[in-house]
Amino acid sequence: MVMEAETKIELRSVRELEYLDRSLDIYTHSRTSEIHPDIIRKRLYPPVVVTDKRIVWGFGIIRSARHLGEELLLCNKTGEEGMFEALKLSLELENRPRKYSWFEKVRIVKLSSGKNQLDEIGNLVEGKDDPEWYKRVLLFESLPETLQHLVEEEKLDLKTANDVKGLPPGVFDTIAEGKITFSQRRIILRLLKEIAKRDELGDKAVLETLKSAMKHKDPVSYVERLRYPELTGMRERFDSLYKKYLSGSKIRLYPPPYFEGSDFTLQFNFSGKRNFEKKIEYLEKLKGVIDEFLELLR
Amino acid sequence: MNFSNYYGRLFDRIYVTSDVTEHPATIRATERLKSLPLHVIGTKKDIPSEHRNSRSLFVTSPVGNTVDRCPGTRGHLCCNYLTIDLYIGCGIGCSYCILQDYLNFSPITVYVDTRPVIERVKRLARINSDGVIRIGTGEVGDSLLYDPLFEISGELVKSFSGLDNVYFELKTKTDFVDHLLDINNKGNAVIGFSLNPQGVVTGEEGTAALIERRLEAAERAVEAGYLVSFHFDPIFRYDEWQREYFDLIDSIEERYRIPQDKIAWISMGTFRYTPELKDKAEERKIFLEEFVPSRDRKFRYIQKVRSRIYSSIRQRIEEHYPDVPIYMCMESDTLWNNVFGNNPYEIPKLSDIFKPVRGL
Repeated sequence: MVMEAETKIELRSVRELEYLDRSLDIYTHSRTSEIHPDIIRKRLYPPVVVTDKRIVWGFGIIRSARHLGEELLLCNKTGEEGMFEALKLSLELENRPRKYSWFEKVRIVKLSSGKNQLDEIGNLVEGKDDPEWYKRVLLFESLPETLQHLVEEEKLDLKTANDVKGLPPGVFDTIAEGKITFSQRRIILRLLKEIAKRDELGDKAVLETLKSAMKHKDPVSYVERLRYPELTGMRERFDSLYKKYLSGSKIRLYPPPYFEGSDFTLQFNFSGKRNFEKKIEYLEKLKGVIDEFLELLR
Repeated sequence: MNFSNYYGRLFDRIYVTSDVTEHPATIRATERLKSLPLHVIGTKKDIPSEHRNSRSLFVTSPVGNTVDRCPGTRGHLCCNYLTIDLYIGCGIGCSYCILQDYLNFSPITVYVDTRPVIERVKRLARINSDGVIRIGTGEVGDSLLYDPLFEISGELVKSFSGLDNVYFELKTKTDFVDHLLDINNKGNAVIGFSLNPQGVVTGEEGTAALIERRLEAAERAVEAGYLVSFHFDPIFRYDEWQREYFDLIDSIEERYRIPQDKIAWISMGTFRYTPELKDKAEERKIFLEEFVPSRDRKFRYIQKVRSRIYSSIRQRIEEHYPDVPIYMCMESDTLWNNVFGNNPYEIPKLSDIFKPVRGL
């Protein structure tokens, strides 16, 4: 026999609900899109789930109600034991899979107990049956707070965040402030982690390295040079040789990828005999110094 | 050797397939590991998934090809080495070991029935009577780590001893040679030792024998009439790499009685790894040098750096052993040209051992 937990639908004051919001979830960790005022005013929302002690679900509704000056909200009052069923019902009524913020997902996981319950609501949260969904949420929860915010704000992916979480916390504040792309942020943090490990840098030195990189006109190149000094040096050597011997020639010369292999690739277009002769002159000049290029592969 | 002390610490249980329970090597090993639970099963599938790991010893008979070509890798020259799968998996636990990537979730597997291998090698020896066959058991596991327990390698040494063109190599990071020393007919058997400076051994090679112990074992093997080989593979690059590798090379001639004509070959291979292995071991500093992807997807030191490492090690070895064949393992033709000035098929000392084997 299945025992149904007793629930009660009632109107409660927004002020009273705010009093129950001890962890300030209403105004901090929710990322619900704006709820249409009519939905609040006409009480067409799923009732806010509350127990005697806390708000279980419906923070976005409370926030919107407060914003609109509404004083009363429809609530579904349940005992602690009926919390999961009420939560599940709320998620069903909300019907916004794939749109929950990471912080909301953390709350959902905390309100569920055991794998069975988590599997039961996976579809409501992620929009598909994904037995691993809550493991990602737990991974998110294990991140330092500044990293959690970077992930929440979609400035960093969860995998990279988890990989670099051992870096000193100041790093994440600094990188968050920088005007760089998502991809640049990932590259910089991963390389910085490897540099810190390789060079056994202390927290202060890691932070200084990052600050110097962020001041540079190309922060990724700055960090790449530190991580791969030899390879960067070879690329620069190639570029300088090219500039010295082929600048203005419109002849393209490519080394093998990562200077691994034996073949350079040479490409040029020509139009007319004079133009062709000009290219050949460049190549003749190149013949005398080609060892300087080949040296990069030996 | 106190078998139950040493191997009892490596394993928690033994699985034996019913077709080999009466095989002498199985009886030897299970007698020596009496303290471990023994399960007789039909096939490998009967091993529960929670026991499919290196804490389980799985004794069985070989299936499929018992002798094959070393797989080599795309875009790299292969030395035409043949491999025998005898001991599959290894419990030494080197941080850089590619087997961690290839053989995860597998018990340590031992193919005790060597008859198909012996027949196959004899046939290959006949077909390739005009050339040399190099063949070894150290491709997917250490040749000698579990051998004192089963004593299978000795049977192969004896069986191949009459085959003049077969060089049978037992490659190891242990010093477990003593059970092989008294064999009368050794033929061209080679005991190969993987060598690295002691600092690398301590930091990265798990429970492998001290380098001094390996070289002492090499000395005993030579004294008993074996050929030996040395494998500087993987070679690591770090601050003091050159001095430490040079010291190691110098020490072989200076401290151990291993004459040049008893060294069958010496190989070199710089550290390389699959992307998957890096994911597993990324916290280790050895992965934080400058690596670039090669054509076979593995990561290697920059080509120019590898050329420099190989050239200097080759030169140092040749100062001591000018007549010993030295080759590189899994390297590109560009590297061969950079380091040796030619490809191995054109180098007289190496052309024989790089000649492809027919009949496989």
